[in-house]
Amino acid sequence: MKQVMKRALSCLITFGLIALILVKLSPLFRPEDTADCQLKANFFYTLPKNSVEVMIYGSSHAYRGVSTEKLYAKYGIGAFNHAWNWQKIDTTRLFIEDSLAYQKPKVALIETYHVHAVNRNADPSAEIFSSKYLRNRNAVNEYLKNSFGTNYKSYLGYYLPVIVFHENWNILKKSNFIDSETDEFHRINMGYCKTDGITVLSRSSITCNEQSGLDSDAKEELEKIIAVCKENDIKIVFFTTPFYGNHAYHDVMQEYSEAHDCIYVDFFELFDEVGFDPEKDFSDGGHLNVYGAEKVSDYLGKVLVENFDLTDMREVEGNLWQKNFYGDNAD
Amino acid sequence: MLFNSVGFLIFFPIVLLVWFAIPEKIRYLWLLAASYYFYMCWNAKYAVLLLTSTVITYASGLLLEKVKGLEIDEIKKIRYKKAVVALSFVSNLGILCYFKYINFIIFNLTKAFSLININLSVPAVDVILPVGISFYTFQALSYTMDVYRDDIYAEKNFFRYALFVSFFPQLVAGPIERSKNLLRQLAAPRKFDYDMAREGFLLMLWGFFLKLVIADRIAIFVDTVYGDYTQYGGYYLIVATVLFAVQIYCDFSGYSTIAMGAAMFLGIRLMENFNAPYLSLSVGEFWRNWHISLTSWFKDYLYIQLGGSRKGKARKYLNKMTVFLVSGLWHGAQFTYVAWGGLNGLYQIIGEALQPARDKAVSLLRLNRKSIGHRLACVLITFVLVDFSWIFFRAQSINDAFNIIGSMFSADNPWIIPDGSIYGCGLDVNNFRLLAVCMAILTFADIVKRRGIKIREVILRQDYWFRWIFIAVSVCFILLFGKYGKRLDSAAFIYFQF
Repeated sequence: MKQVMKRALSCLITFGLIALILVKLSPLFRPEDTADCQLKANFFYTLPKNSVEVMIYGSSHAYRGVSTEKLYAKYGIGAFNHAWNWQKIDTTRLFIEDSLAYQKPKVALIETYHVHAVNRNADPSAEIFSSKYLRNRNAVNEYLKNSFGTNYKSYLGYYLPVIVFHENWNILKKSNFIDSETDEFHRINMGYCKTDGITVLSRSSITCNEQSGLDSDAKEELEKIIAVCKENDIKIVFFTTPFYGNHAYHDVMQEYSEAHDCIYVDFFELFDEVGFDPEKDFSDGGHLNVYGAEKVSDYLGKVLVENFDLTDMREVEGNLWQKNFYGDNAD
Repeated sequence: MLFNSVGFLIFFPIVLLVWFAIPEKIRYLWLLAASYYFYMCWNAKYAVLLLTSTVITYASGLLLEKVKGLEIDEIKKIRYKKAVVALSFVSNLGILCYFKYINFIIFNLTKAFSLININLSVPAVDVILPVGISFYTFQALSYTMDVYRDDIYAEKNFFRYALFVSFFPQLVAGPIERSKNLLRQLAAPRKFDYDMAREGFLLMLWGFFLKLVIADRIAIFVDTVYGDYTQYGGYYLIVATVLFAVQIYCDFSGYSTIAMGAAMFLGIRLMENFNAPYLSLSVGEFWRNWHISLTSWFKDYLYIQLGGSRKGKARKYLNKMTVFLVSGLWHGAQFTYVAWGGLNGLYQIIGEALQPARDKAVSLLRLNRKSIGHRLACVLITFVLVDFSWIFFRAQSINDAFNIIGSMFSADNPWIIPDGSIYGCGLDVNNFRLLAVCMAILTFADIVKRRGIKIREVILRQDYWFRWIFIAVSVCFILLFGKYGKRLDSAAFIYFQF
């Protein structure tokens, strides 16, 4: 009996060691760029409760396409850019639901690049993995259930990324090994990602000639976004930033917005009016650079002040935006 | 169900736990049920074929035993016995032929007739090759032959015999077990042996390392290059061909090793299927150490039956060539496999025919056969010859194989290695480095094995803390550096298609 116990203990210790190594290695192997998402989320939760009047949600198109500094400097809007890379519409809904426990914005600016796409029966991806850093666990659990279905392997990958993202051993960098607790970048930009670099595009390649509809899953996600915003008395402005290729959801978003009393700002339609320069305003085929983002933000700011009763934060002494953008001693 | 799948990682512990919990006497029944479930995970229908093969060979065993007991004259007895064996062989090989070779036969007959202007329009038969059919058919047939030769008594217990044919660790890709080894072990109730299980665990780890870390990593490069050999000519093909030799070794021996390890948990010792084959000094030695269970099967049940080396040199060479051609065909219904087998047969015949001349040359040049340099040269030459034959094994057609050889011999792009172009075929420089380290580990393990040292026994002799850390680190190493997808799905073993 003693020997059996000894052997059982030996097996347990071995498997315990394996589990310990895997758990300890897991943070190193998380999907690329999600560490930055964690920093941004952590910064978001440090914002004073209910201090933000305009929240920006969506994919990297919004993350890199809407300058919170421009919104503040020109219109006095107190906004936080809560968008993150890759987001499909269900991930955007998750970010909205999570953020509402901390902020009660008057307006939600929702970017629609991935409005047609939802995660269903999905593999664990960097996009889904970014939900790990959100604090509304009920919302996250529901999101995971919808995304993975009953695929237990995906759950394993989510909770133990070292297994699913093991190929990341090949791209480990110094930054993977160093924990940075604060992130100046997100603080001084209030969530917005300034992107340098210019990619020259041709105007004719930025179109919305071919139009498509939304499937039932995408519609359901939109309905839920509308419902949660309504419940919290938040007005919605949908918007689409320009990108290389065909924007297939102009018509459907226009109709949807009108039907639900929302504003839809489509920069494909406004491309010439806003004065985008396809040779200067893009950092790559999909994303605007800092010049393009200024133009988007300028136009959105005008829409916001014309349609909503927002506080001019510039007149609030010691406000968050003034401090974060220009430092404590700046005028 | 693949060994390298999550399904197996769930299936195997359940099988073990139940096996451990139930009385020893009925454990074989549980293993039989588990084996059929394992097989039916691919295609439930094809379990009927497995059962058919089992029933035929089981019945033939009983019949042979009955004939042996008949009080008739010896010549008649032998005739009856031969008739039973023939019946077993014809029916089993008939099934194998139909499912594996029917379309190959139809295609080539049609082609042959078209040469003499006769147009045959026979449609192709819609059959899927049942996984492992070549393996279990040969295993079942070896039983018939063993009973015929009085090497063993016929098994009376149908379920035990059915387990012998379908034992899940080695069912779909070998080792092709002999009744003398496996059936005898199954005859006695198996007990859980902790030391055997530990050894089995280490073997399984080694098998997973070979398959997931080495073979599946190399597969990416080889598939890219061979998949588009017109684009990746010259040195790309040379490197891919060298790596393919390692890939197929690690893939197949990986499977066999996992099979051996899994069986050891259940108290069964399967035969060794590989013994460091690439360290062989001649092609003949290579074949004595490569896929040992199949080579010995052909030797025992075909080569010797054909007369072996007993009927003169010419006949011996003919027999050898026959064995290798059949062995090639056993691997698949394609002429590439036949050519691969034929080439290996030819190596051996030429090697033997030139033996006196080689001996003379060695003595004239005063070469020391035992020196490291001489042995190394022999190992290299053997590897080059064997690797050259792998081109036919890997190519999609004979024509492709000749084009690949042509491209290799006119190689004029050696810069792809120093300038890093080679890293653009699916494996980057870090993966190549990792591969080099792993192949060094493999070479070390093979050298040690040839010297009669079992690394797993050395590990198990170490202190408990070393064993814990070694196993934990090894498991994590395989999980980190193994090749498998986000859904934890990894590549099938190459030999499954045979």
